[in-house]
Amino acid sequence: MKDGFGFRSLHPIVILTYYAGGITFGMLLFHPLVLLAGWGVAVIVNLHLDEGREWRKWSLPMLTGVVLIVLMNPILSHRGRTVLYYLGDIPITLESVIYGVTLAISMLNLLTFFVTYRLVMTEQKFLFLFTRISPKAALITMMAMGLVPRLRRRMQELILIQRTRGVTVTEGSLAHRARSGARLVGTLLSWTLEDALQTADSMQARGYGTGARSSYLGFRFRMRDGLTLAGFAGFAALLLGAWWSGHGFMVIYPRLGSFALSPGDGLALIAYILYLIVPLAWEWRDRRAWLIMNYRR
Amino acid sequence: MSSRSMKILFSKWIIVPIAIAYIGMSYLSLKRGNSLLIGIVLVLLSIIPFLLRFERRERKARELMLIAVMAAVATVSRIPFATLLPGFTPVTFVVIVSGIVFGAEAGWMVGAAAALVSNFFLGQGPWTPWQMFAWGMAGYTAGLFAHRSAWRRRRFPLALFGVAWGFLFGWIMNVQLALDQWMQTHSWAAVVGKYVLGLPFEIIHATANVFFILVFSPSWIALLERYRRKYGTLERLEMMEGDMNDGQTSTVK
Repeated sequence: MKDGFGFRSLHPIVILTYYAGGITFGMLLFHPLVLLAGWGVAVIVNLHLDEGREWRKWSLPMLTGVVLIVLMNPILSHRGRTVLYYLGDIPITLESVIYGVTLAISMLNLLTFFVTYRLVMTEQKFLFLFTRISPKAALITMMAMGLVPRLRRRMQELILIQRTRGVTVTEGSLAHRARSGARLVGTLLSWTLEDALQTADSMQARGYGTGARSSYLGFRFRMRDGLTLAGFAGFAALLLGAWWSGHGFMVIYPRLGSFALSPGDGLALIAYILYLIVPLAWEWRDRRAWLIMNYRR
Repeated sequence: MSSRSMKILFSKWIIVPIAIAYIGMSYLSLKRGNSLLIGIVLVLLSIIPFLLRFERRERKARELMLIAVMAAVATVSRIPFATLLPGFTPVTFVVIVSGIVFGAEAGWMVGAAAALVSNFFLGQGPWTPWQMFAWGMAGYTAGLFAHRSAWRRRRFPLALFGVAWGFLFGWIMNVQLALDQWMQTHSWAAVVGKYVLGLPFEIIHATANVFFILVFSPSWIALLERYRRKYGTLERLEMMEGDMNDGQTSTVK
């Protein structure tokens, strides 16, 4: 919607760099405090982009996953010096519990960070980027994404109508329900194939495949994109430097290390936070400009 | 930045230095006991050859649309089954049938696209590349399996194939977690424990595959074959493959 504003107004290549870097660093770093800080920033980015609506929608499944990881890890892994207690004759170690918690925070951080991806990287931007690298696969992905909401509506319609003749997934034996479900999907398939091929023919008529695909929106690489990329490069270099020399992760096995951040860890933490927060600077700047222009404040 | 230098930046070859940098980073990360990155990097790299194979050939709009529809149907087919058992989804069945009817390359594309697209609606995460790989391979091997053998398209051979992929899918998805357990404990017991823990889900998945294949594969294959013949999609490719005789796709009789 607000594609000319703040973070969303950046060039697709800058946005791709941001997400590629953020995910990579989220996987390289393995220190609960650093990851927790990263998660905090990801939440702030979410709040800036859409008041956290999308994030709240995902929060329950994310929380379930996190609890599962925290519970599973000590049961599977018994390494570590400090045994907390015995579950039957399974030793539950402090190290394994802490590792599980760190892994869970790492997952939470990655998932929360990625929630914003769909808000920022619109279909137009995705196609703009990937038609150069892999035109057909990118087009298929985007066509399938566009089809899903339509097929969903059709599926709801089919479920409603077919129920009147006893084809239902909510009642009856398991075999009956499974059979009905697959019948619904089969009907949906033959319904959709018919008009999908019509769409394909109209694509053909409009000249699909006669040349390289051009982009409807012309994304220009502006000053702010250059500045943002430079910021990313700087903070990424700092972060990777700290990581290279052995900071940004905690020693858990065989004996739990200290939670305290060494100066190197602190550097990694600050670089990570700054990297994640750079695009928000444009969000703030544009909000300020909007206020000045509209209310002269 | 000028448009020319942008073009150079965007060109495919930029992937090579990035891939090398990532392999280096993930190796170092692995040495420090963190296996998350190396798994994802290797899986993403394994996707590249399939993508190149798919892109190499010119394709009509109808072919692309057909593949997109199959991927979308696979995604949506998760909805009516969400109220049944968890893990009882027809996605693998849809992918396998696409591979059988439209050939190995199209089958790979349907599987990979279905994984990517459905996760946009169900939640992206580190599992996305693994699912793309697993379902992509299910579609690809289905194409190879049914290639030029009418007998293998019948219910029972396909049901066996479905059982195999029910387990293989789960085992591929477990690799990342098992790798993590190995890095933590260096004990095979934990790795095996991880796999044993996942076994019920694999059994449900395999049962779902067998059920869908036994009950619905003949009608689905007939339906898709009819569309393919009616609209002549993915047909030209068959002829080319037939001429080249390199055994990638299934043929029309």
